[in-house]
Amino acid sequence: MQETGSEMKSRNKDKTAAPDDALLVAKNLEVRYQGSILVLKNVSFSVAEGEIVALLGSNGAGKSTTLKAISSLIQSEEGQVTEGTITYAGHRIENDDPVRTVRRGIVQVMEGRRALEHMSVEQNLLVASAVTGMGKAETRAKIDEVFDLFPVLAEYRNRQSGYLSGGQQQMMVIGRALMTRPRLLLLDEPSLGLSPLLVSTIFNAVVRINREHGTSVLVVEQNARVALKHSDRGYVLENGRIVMEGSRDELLGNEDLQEFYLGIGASGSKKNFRDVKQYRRRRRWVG
Amino acid sequence: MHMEILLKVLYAGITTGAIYAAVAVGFNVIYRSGRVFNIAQGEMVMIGTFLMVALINSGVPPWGAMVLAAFGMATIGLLVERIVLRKLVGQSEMALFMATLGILLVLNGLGHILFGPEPQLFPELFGRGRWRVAGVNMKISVLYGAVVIVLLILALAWFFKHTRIGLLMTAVAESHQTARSLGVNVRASIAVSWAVSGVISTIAAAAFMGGRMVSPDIASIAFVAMPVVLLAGLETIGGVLIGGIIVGIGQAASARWLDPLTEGGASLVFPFALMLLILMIRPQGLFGWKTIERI
Repeated sequence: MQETGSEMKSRNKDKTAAPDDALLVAKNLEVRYQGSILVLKNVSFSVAEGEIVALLGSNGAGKSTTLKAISSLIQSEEGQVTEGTITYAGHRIENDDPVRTVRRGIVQVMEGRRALEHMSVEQNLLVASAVTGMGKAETRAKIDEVFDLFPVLAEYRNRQSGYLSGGQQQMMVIGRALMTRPRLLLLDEPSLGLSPLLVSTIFNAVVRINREHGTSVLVVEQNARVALKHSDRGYVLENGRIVMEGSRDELLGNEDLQEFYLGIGASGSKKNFRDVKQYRRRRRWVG
Repeated sequence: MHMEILLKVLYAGITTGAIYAAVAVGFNVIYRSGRVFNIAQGEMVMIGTFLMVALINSGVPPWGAMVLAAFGMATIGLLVERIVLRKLVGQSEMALFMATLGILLVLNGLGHILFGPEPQLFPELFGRGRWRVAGVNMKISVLYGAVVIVLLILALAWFFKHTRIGLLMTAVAESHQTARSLGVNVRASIAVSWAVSGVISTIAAAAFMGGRMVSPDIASIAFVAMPVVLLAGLETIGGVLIGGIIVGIGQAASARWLDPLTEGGASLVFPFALMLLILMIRPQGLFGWKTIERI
């Protein structure tokens, strides 16, 4: 018999969740926009050193807000962590300066790619290395590393990045993030608008970054199947609350997740979470 | 005779164009580093001018006055960023533009309060000498001023293109939020650009105001420089030299050949007619960034 989300959530606290001394620990996070619009409520999760963690959820669940709360980019959208804590490598970082957050080793690749469109591919990479104060030799080596990871970028190194394809831009912005020497990479919807082949290329590169550099990754995705396939653990966010968490295999085997996020109904028929009323999902997950 | 007239037009056009370029580059440095269209640029030139006049009148030697005024203007630029713009990082361009409109009104009012409405003589910094070349009477101070401005603009263009800080400031101009996501200090970039713009304003004043009567109304030079900004493009630095020369020579030619037919109106209208034409044909200007739409 399949476990419900609430059963799995409580069990995972003992078995699969990263320890409290993990690289990143968010505890009882509450985030509000303009001081009043509540977006995240009592959200707790963690990312251990060298781990890939998926944060799944539908549109408006609060996934991007969670990433921006970690990177502190939420501040320029008039958002703020109003309760709870975010601890990274032993330092409290909630509502910190985004510049300091990057220097600590956290970098976010924002949704929608956000290439510096009027700059060339190489200049995009140089901007990120300039921030860290990297020397010329190290910058060169890092750029070569990025081109080794995404060979197509080497071909277009002098091309204005605004004229790259969506997939190439996604590769470039991930490569650009690597230029900051991150210890924790935050990826927001890296598969958005890309073909299955490109999505696979991107995620394989993410796994390679994780394996070769030990970089921890927190990836936000609506494409649950792809995200879980490449992750060690995952969390499901609904309406600003974590409703399910577990290891990759546990989540992939979960009936609710299969039904609402992988589009496979219990009877074998495909069903989307939008087809099921909110109260029914909450009843199943929160108990 | 025809050659002499042509040379006169070129001399007048190039030197006037250099003045416009000096003001225009102040606009572009701020826009190129923070995506802020600073409508108060003329007021920056006006305050720079009067700071120098006040310092010279109080006995400070002219070159010392220029250095002190440059420091003063850099400080004013930093204060504007700290007091007004810091809270607006990441906000829309319109919000930032409206903030600079407020700065314009405040600086304009301050200029009138502190320096009074009466015109004052701006001393000659480069002497009163003249050269006569091929029948054209050239003021040496104006030629020096033009050379200083050309060198300054070329140095700034090199800075933005080849230095690490220039690259980071360009990233800020592309997008505040993307720059922040990479750890670029957007506030520092905007602050530096306002300080640099303050210094440029002082140098522009020193280069071209010599021997003229100046009043707070000189701030309106920013509006005449606006066509240069739009012709060259808001993101270019070196391009303002070409924009300035085109507008300057066009205006001088209008003054020579069309003004007699239009009761002096053609040279006044020319820069603005050109501005409208540019906006219709090539909104990003000759060297500005073209918006890339992905469909």
